[in-house]
Amino acid sequence: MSTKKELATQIRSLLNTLPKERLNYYSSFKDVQLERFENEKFLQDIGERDLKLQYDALRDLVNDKYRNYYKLDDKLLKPKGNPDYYSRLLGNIKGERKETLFDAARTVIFGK
Amino acid sequence: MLNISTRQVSRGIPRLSRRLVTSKVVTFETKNSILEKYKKPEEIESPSQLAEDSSLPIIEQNLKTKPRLPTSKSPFLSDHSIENPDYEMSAWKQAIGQQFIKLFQIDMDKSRAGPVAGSIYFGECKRQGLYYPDEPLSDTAKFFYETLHLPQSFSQQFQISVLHYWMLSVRMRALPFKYGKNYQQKLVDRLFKDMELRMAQELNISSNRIIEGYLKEYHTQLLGSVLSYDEGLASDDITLASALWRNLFNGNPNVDIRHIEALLVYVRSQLYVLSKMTDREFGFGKFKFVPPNKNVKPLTKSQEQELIEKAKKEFQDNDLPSQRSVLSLDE
Repeated sequence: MSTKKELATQIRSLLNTLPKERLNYYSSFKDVQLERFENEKFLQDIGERDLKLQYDALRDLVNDKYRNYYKLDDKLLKPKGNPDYYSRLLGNIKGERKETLFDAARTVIFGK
Repeated sequence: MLNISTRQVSRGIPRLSRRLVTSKVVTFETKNSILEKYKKPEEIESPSQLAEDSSLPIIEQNLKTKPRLPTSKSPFLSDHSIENPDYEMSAWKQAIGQQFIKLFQIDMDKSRAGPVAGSIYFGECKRQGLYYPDEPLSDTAKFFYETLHLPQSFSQQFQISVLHYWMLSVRMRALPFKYGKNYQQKLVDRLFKDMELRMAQELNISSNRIIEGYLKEYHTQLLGSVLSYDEGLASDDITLASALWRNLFNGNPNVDIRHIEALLVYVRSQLYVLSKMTDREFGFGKFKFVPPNKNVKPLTKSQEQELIEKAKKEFQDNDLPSQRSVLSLDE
């Protein structure tokens, strides 16, 4: 049980390191999973191996294991059809830049 | 409105604490190890194997409504003979067509978007999540419905198609703008045309008003999914995983995180394969999704070069007017 408790604590601390979602989605992965791994009944029912796998999976996701394993180059991340697509999108989501009416009209008319 | 709220949210991001888990600090013992270069890069399992590793008991998600099952089966693509895989155009029709293309200098890369994106790639997207009661599932459908335990419903099929559409559209963005946009348009048009037909023919929805309402709803879902997948692609694994959890796993609180990880590996590996294809190969419809029970290994520089040489060889004899293309064979 103590190992399970330790694993649950590790999972919760991993989840706590996640930033809050930038947009208001209908559900937050971080909040929902934090609630799940705080639930005593759930922790009692789950096997130690299963809990360890949950921890390993979450750790790999948080550490960007697969992003680094299947590294994408600028061919997809700065696509030649629209090189600023992702930087513009992220800039807008993070609130670093604001889409003006002129920008919006340009996107609608020219597609980028 | 959106910008103000997201700015407020981004201020609260605990960036420093995040570094604790993504730390790049190398310990003294491993810093100058001469054995480092002999270490084999870590291999990862296929998405199916990864997901099957876990034995976490499945708790079925309580869906608000019972999914409506298809009562009949529409043709996979269409009844039109040209979409039949065994169709072969007669020689005289081909000759007239070639002369026509030559005479009017038709931009074949633009024309090819219809048959490639609107038929071949549409078929690829549709095939992955397709199911009919009492019929065997394809390898990918097994992965989604049996390994990941996603519910079998029309909306779930749509979400699976959208995920595959998005992966293809990421690659289409890397084509020259006017062609990429055209490919994306043809693919999405065909997806929605097919949804409309199947709702009427397979699900027996007779009211056009109701079908139209569903289509609008699905369109909104498509925009939301593409936005969150794009955000995930441009950010990190956990953001993409959260997007997959919301859209494919329906925000299931009892999800097996190992399953999300397996799906993320599936997506990342497909994108990797797509990034290694030349524009010409992709534009001619040569891409096929890798089944989830197969393992994708990263390529070495020499293997990448070998693939490019192979593609060049394959296309070097394409001299017919209909085979003309300006799409790159180098990238």
